[in-house]
Amino acid sequence: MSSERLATAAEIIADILGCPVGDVTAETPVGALPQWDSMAHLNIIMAFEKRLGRQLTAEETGTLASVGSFAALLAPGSAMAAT
Amino acid sequence: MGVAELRKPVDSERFHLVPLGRRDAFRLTYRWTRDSAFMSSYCGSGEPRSPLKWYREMIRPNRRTKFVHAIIPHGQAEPIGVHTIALRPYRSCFLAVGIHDRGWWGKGVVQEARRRIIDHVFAHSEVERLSGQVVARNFSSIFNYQTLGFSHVGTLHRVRLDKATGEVQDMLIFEMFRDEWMARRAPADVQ
Repeated sequence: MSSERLATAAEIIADILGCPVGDVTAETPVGALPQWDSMAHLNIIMAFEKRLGRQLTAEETGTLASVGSFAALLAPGSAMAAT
Repeated sequence: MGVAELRKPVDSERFHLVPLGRRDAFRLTYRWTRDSAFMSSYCGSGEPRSPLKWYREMIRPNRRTKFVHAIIPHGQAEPIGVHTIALRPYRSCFLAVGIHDRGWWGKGVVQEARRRIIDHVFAHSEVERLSGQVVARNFSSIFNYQTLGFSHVGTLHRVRLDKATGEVQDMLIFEMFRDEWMARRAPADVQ
């Protein structure tokens, strides 16, 4: 996984959670940080959709299990969307 | 299944989870059907319902295979939401939850109530598999399934029309098995 994409994803997530970027690693599971509740999760997904300029597909929203999976959304042509 | 225990109230840290009879479940939830945003989240469709339509659509508790638990904060009389259970072949249990009181949104109600209900179901039935369905744009609900350990096992594409908004929606299917739940629970947590 690109460290650049991971850094970007971690920045987006840390910004919404209001925590240090260093707390957010590729392996951090969704909901593992105390600030990461259901409302924060909604805001994180909205932030990624804004950045990507598209809505996430149903499959994408169902499989976002960790910070790493959010970073994978930022890969060029990641859009499972198009399938 | 020996489900008599499922007819009894249980408590979590902050809530009484009280099984309702069919009439009380209808009375409580029918007034919530006028809240379009809530119904979209709870049922995937926010259009107004007649009493008869809602009665047919709601999970109707029967004290054997279908249960509706009112979620009532300790020290309060009024329910803030409901959690429903429907036992189905083979050793499966379909779950749904709706929190109507917006003052409680984002405060971990679903996580806490559902943890207690799942423990209750596994302790007092032969259920091996839990499942639930959620509208693909209901990110908060998806979060709740994922963080409780459910796996996304399938997607129903363009399967539902929200008549209130005209949106055609996808639904995600989540499931979890008894052994997966037990593996996630510390022994001291299981009551």
